[in-house]
Amino acid sequence: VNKAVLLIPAALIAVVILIIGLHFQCSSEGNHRFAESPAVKAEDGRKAGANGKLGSGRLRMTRPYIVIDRYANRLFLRTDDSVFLAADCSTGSGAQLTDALTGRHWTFDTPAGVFQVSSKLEGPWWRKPDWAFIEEGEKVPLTDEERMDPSMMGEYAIGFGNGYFIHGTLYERLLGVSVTHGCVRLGAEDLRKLYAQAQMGTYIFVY
Amino acid sequence: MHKRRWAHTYLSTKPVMRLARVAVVMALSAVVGGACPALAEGKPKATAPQAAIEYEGRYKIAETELAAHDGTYLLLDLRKKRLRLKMRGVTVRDFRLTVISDSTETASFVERVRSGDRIAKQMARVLLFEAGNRLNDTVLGIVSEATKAPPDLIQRYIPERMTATFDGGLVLTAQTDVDGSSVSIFANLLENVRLFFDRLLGAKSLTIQVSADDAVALYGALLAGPPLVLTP
Repeated sequence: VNKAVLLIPAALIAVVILIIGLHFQCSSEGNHRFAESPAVKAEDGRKAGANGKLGSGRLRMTRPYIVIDRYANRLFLRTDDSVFLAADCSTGSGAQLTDALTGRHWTFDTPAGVFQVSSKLEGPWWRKPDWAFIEEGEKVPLTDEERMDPSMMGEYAIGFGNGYFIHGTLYERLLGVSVTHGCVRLGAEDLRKLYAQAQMGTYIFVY
Repeated sequence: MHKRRWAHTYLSTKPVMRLARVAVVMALSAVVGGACPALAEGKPKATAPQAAIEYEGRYKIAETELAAHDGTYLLLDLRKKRLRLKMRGVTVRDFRLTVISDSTETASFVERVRSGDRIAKQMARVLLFEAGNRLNDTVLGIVSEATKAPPDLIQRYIPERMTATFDGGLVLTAQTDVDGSSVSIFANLLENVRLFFDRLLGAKSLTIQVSADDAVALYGALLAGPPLVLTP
């Protein structure tokens, strides 16, 4: 009986110590695992991105994507590990133009960011915008017929939104130099290869 | 006789008492196994594997945060000798590099990049010390006139040496085997003075060598001020 009187309070104290000990153990484990939960969330985010939406997470590319380096004027068709096409291109010059008559203003930059191929055209015609005439000091025509140019864009054009295209050029000697009005010019042979590989929805990374 | 009494007491008591003893043993083991690591939390340094796991976790979080934005960021992988430019978690350019710094300097740089609350180090400034011109003056003049763009917008530089300074006292110098000339003597002088004082204040530096083509692209990428993260 005496032993029981001693052991029962001891057991109660032990249970309290057990609870405190387990609490410490849990918080200690929590510290070691602190990186796991966000990392798991990150993986989920990547998968969400891979389903085709830009969203807020990182993208996982299962198909080749296009990369455009505006400073070096280089275009790549690549995956994370392999480069399938590396070519000289021409991107926007960054020049500015103001129409003295109307005050309209243009900056000829290739936009940076993540885009997707939104159109693919064979034998494209260029419909000259107003700035093409203003820049040359010509009068802006009233009819579409006077704006159409069948030879300027080369054999193919790959659109990536807002009127921006990857297309061919008559001035291949200027590839590698920033001379365009915002579109990306590519040599005929490289354009042919890129057009064959790029599909609607292919991602385009411009930096 | 004495031994037998002890054994009898321990092995043949009633269930309540046996449970109480088990609780005492469990409590002791829980205290030894749980409370001790908790007490050790106050110690400043983890073991090497723990530190590596911890850094890997921080790296994943940092890259996830960087990949949530459209801007570019740089991942420095000294083991694979690569500098990787990424955007939205996707590799847009790989730069192969050779480390010029000695092992002590490299280790100090690595330790500094890994330290601090944020392992993604924001870029403070970049300077092209010496470079060659991609276009000669004649061609540049013709192109500039034809495109009506100022020459400085069209010209591109092939760096001989450039320096990017990142938060936390980190200086990354990239050099090539190109023979260039000073881009701006005044800017070079100013930057050299800055770097001198940075070093006095304990800045850590790393010097790498890249190819001329990669250097052009790297300089262009650095102009956008991408953060730098060291891969685990």
